[in-house]
Amino acid sequence: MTPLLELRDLVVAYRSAAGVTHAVDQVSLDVARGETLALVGESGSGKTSLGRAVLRLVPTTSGTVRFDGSDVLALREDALRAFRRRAQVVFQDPNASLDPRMRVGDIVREGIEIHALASPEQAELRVARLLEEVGLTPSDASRHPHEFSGGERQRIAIARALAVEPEFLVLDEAVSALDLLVRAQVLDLLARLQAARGLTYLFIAHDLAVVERIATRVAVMHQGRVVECAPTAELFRAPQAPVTQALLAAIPRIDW
Amino acid sequence: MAASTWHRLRHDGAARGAAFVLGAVAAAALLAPWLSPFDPTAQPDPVALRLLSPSWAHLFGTDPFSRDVLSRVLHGARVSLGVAAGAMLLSVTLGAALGALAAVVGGWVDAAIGGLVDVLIAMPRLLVVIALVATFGTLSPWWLVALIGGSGWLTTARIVRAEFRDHLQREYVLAARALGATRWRIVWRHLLPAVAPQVAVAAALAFAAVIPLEAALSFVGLGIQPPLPSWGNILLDGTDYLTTAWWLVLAPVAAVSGTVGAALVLADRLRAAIADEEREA
Repeated sequence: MTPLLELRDLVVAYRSAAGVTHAVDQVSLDVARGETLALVGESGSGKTSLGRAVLRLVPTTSGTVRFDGSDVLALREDALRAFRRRAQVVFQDPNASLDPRMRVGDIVREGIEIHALASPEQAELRVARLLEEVGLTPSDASRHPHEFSGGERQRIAIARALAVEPEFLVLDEAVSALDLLVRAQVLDLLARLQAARGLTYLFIAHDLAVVERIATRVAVMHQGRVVECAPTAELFRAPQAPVTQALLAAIPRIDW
Repeated sequence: MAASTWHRLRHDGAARGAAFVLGAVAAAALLAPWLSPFDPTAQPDPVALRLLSPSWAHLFGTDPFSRDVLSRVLHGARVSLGVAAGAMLLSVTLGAALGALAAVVGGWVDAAIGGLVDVLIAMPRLLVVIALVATFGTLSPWWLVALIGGSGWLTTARIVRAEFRDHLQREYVLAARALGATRWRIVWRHLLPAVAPQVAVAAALAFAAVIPLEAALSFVGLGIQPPLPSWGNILLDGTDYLTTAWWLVLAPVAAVSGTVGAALVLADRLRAAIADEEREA
């Protein structure tokens, strides 16, 4: 079966006063349907730029991005809108990623409105079901984001992404800002949603500890390049690249 | 969180006082025909009834043409506030639209609007109006609105452009783009509500600037032409008699400074509410 997402020689370069920076440098990766590919690297390694480039949220310099066989970088208007329905994103900081002036119901409904997926009454029902699916209650729809805890806000962001019924989610450090207990709960939720909806995840994180449980495979990024990509168990057992070894050494282990 | 910026403002004593003053002045302007004891342009007896000092019949006295000053100030409010409100609406709408366009479209559109702002900033408003009056004769109130409003949008445009550029980088806008929102949906649903409090500050400041500008123009005889009363030309009628009938300028001066003061207090309190909000967010 062809991979859902195929990256070939992807380059994302930013021009600044200091010159040209290659945030993503010649990256080739495949993400298979239904799997979770973890993208791990220190901050500044280019993983966030890669995630955004895949969704066409930042301009790419060269290379190709194929989603379900079609060239994402060449999509225009209606085709791009159709792609946006299929590929969604959850960001790291739900304080920044939820519009503070909107009610939760309106935030979750936005995608349904944009793609005209339901009549206003049906949309109301769908929002209620989505809120329940992520562990909130339908009455939360009338509240504002600042009334919720960090973990709950991340659940709102997940509900917003799911509203358009995507197949693919970029989880950009989606649990990095949460404390350990809440992080485990949100990871459980993501695993349940993946099983129930057959989702494919690109899971971006800056440490390996968080991906061990959820990832099928792990790709390690360093200075814009993918230095190692292997199934999770294998990577943890026999890390090849020095960067991977350093990341593994950084995981706090409890020795009993 | 703008929702609570407005909430803070509603519970601010000084802001409520200022809003009350502005509301009262606006009500006086609207109800002028019913509130005024006399016809503002009637000259019942320019010999016997001129320059009367304040009495129960004429609370602020009469002017050199025997007209009731209170009635003229009440009717003048219609003209002065009307011109100020019209010019404010025009400048804020133009400023928000051009600032938004510059930030969202960018490129040469941004450069062109930036250039226009630079040119207009270099142009002294009062001199431009004087030049236009010299060319076309007197100006109607509509022309005043167009001129003052058409030259007053620069601050709003700058604020809206800067705020938009900041918000366009934020993740909630990125999330909306990822959902497939068009640029104009993002502008309407996310960005304009985000900058609304800042635009309201600019609007209050514009209003506070236009009232004395109209008064100044009318005072030098270039704005509203008599016998139509405006606060500026009522003031002009009174200044010749400052030593003999000082009460003539009392009502127009109080009207101008009270209205401008209230608008400034409102702008200041709104700015404080925005700052409080940002500090807590």
